[in-house]
Amino acid sequence: MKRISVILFLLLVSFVVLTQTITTDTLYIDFTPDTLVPVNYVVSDMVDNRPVPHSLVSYTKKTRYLIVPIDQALHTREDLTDIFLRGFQQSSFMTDTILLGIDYFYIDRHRGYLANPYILQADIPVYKLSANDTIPAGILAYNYTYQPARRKDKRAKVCEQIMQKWYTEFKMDLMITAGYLQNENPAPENLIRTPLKKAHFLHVLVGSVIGLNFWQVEGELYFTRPETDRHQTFLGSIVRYQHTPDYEMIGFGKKTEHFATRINDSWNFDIASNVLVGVLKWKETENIKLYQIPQFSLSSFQTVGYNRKNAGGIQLKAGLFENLYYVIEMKPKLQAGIYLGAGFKF
Amino acid sequence: MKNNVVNLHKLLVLSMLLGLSPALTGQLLTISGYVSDKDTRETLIGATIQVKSENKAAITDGNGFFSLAGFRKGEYTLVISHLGYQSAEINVMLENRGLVLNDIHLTPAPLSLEEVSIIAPRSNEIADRTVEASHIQLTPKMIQSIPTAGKDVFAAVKYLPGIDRTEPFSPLYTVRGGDPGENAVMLDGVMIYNPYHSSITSGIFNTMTIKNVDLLVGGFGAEYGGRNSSVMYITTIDGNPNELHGEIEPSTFYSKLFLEFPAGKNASMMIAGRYLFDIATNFIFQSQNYFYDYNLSYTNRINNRNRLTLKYFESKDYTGYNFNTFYRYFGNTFNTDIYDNFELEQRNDWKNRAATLIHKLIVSPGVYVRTQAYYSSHRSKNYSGLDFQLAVPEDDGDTLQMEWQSKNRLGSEIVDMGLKSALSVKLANFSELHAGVEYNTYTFRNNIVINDIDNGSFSRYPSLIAFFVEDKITAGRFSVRPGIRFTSYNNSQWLYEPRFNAAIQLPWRTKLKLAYGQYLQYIISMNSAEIEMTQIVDYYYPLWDKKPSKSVHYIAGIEKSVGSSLFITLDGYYKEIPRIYAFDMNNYYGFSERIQQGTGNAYGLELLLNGKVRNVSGWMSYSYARATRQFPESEINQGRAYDFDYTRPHTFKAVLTCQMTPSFALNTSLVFLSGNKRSIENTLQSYYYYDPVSNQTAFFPLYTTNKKNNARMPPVINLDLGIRKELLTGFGKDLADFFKADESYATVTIRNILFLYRNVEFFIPSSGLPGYEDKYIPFGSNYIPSVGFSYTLKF
Repeated sequence: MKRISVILFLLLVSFVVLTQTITTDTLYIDFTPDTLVPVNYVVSDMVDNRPVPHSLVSYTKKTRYLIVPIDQALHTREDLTDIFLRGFQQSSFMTDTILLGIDYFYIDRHRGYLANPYILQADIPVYKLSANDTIPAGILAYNYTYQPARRKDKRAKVCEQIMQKWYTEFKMDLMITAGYLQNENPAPENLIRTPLKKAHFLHVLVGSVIGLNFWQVEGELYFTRPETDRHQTFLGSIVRYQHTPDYEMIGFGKKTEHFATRINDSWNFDIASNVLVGVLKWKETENIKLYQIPQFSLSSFQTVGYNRKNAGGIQLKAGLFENLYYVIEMKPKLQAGIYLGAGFKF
Repeated sequence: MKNNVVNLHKLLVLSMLLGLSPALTGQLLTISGYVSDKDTRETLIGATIQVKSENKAAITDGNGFFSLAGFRKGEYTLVISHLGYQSAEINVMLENRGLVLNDIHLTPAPLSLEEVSIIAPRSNEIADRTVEASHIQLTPKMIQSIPTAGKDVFAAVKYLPGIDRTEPFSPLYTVRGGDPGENAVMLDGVMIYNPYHSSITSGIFNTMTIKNVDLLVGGFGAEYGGRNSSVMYITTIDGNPNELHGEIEPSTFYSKLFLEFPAGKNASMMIAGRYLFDIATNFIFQSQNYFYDYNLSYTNRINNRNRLTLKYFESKDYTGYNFNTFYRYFGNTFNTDIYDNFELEQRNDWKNRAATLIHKLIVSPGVYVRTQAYYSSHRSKNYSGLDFQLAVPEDDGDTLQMEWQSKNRLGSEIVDMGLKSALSVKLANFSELHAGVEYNTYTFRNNIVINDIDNGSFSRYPSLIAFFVEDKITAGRFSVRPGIRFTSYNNSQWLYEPRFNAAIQLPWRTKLKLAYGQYLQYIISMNSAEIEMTQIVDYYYPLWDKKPSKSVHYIAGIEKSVGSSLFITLDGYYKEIPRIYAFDMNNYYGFSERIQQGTGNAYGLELLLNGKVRNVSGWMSYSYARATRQFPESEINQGRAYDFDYTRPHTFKAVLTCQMTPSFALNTSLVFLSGNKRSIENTLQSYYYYDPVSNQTAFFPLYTTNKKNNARMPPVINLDLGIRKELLTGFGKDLADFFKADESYATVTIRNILFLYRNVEFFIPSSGLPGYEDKYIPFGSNYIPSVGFSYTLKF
């Protein structure tokens, strides 16, 4: 009983101590905008429309005392709009006045199986100001990828680097946009002229696979950013039901990694791979042991799909499916089949 | 008993005169109205209304209604406040008549970190807290702060002083030495029978729908009756008449949904549901287990005097366990054949329905009427089958072939239809009359089939008429509330239940509360006091030609505020149980007629500290409790008194929440329960019986003892941790952004951190096993720590 009392006392004390020491950290980024003089526009103002603190750049997950997850917020020392505006010095060549906004701005990290670069995601609406009117020109959307030279660089430092690099590109894009508004050149590829209601598209897909001696249905859920490039990488979550002559399986995969390449504005090609953990309902139970209930599988899809660029609506997919699975004390097996899927992009 | 009826008339006249007298003495006016949340329009329970420059104040009741009396003509300023809301001031002008105000809306206050608290405001709820002792309030936030409560009301209440669990895996609870069947569970004023899910041993109420839970654990007023021990009164949300809001907790196994939205002018609706599909048993082991429950609510705020609410609730459980696949896997894995001749099958089908129509009417500023019609039903069908053959080697070299075989079917159905109306009259600032009437008609149907032999069934249709009156009189520092409740069960004699509450405001922010009450119960729980582990369901049986079970409560309590946010209460109670019933389980045949009558008592002390210090909030309690039972005319403990099954002399409970950051909270709960009493069997007896189906005589061995509750188990200690974290990154954050959600958070529960300390609940004799003749096998709970995850999206 004494031992228990000591344990309880220590736990209560540690609880009280924990309450005193764990707080959300806030890290500050020393981001200074470059002052290259824009040649064909002037920015009159920049408005931050985000429902979060206007200096927020990113959150990082940290673990304290092995198990306690805390969020580390990364902020700039001033509001983003104030810092960005300092980079737009008035030019003697100015011809157009531009009003900017920030609908979305966040530095995230893609945590895929093969690579995990940082991505600066931003939606910057651009308006042309005339004497009597404010004309929307479109949204400059960014999925700016950056792999730090040194893997061990602190996140704050990496965010500082990525913002510096992105900002230069952003100013260049504004120059091209200004030229486009003056009918001098085509629009930049990442200027989206259709209205974007949200920073991400939500995809809900249901797919089926028919193989030689099995069939399966699965549901997948994932978010994608507006497309600013021909290639797009994103992660999805999947639930799968598979039926074979030997068993039925329900499996879950948290991280389905997609590499999508756009063929044209309506069609794309997608290679996806995932690791699934499932549970088996064996049809013949005579020799099955308890540890043969779980199944581990590695799957891959190669599909061509109807998926309109930067627009919601119906999605269709067709392609090939391969799966390698393993059950303890049994030989790994390979499955292959034809995949057909349909869904909706919100 | 006829004299009691005469007494009733006298008391009614006296009470009315007491209430009316101030009105007759002068032109005093009354102000009343509802207080509600500006955003959600939910009525606020426990809001304080103070009159500036006057010594008058009121607190909104369980309907969000307040009434202030004793005004003369003139202009007054009311200050309305509630924890977590910005205070509001309104000016009212009283001329020749009292005033019913339009809804007063309070704006939620932005909370700073140190203001985040799970503790409920000290407020008046369904009962009058200003005079009532032993009244505890639970809010959804408090329930969520308990890591192992699993967002379940019935799990949460067991962390409060005076309330303890029965069996380790049972959702039932015992209050201050009372039987589990002596606790009333009411959903929006509707009595609910057996409110538990059989599949997950938790309650059937979805906490997303709950606005408030009030627990009256003793000495409660005359409005509540029908149960001898406690009242759990759950108030559900009416819905938001302004805009759509909701909460989703998606999961592959156990999903929840809650939506509230406008439904026409001044009207709102709430829809909520839960669904459980147990993938492990359903898919892998080919059992069939599921449950669902859903709530519907429609509220029309017709005008500032009339409100109409319609609520419907339904829950269903189906558990069809088939263990044969699991046994086969188990045998293959551990290379054993002990399950080769073992077949166990269990099927439970439970269903609860409750519907109610509530009309709230402000007749005049000082007169409030709540009228309610309701229907409540519980239906259960249970089947359990066992076929187990075992060969036991004997000393002489022979082998004894043993076989256990049983097939039992139980059926139970309760239908309760009721109509009740309660009137509150406030004619002066020092007198508040509360009276009401209730009529119920019941249907009870029970049947039992043991080993294919029909052991009887019965149907009974009793009725109950009850009315009550109580008057709260306040004079300076003193408040008293005498009350009386009259009941006539199945057109029999009128019986009365006197109740009395008093409160005295002492110096040093201390309050002394006293309570006395007699309680009668006409339906009893179908549980036995003879064998272990029977109090796991809450089936009821109507008394017939027997006096109701009875208990008498004596309570004295002290409340003290320490600073602005810490409260200490100390309650002492003595509960006399002159009449209590149990079923004689050894007389299977027609057992529903075999009821044993007994007596008992319970007493104890409960110390509760609750509140918040900086960013830590929660409560800690210590209880000392004793309870006994005696069934003189029965074989239970040979008629001698014994310690009640679920008495634990010492309990310590703590629930603490540390809101470390606005997005991160650490919850912990610690429970220390000194061991309860068990009957450790020390004698092997063989029971022979004749099976007419197989035309054979068989026997089954049973270990027994001649002394009930002859041993005290070791203490039970549980320590659990929970983390509630708002999701600021990843998929959860993207989902919240997409739906423009107010909150998106994950909950992680780490149960049973002290798993190295084994909680032994039973010692089972192992005399049948060779080599273990004199040994007892400890059987307990919480051997393995576990981690649970859930995700919630709130918009």
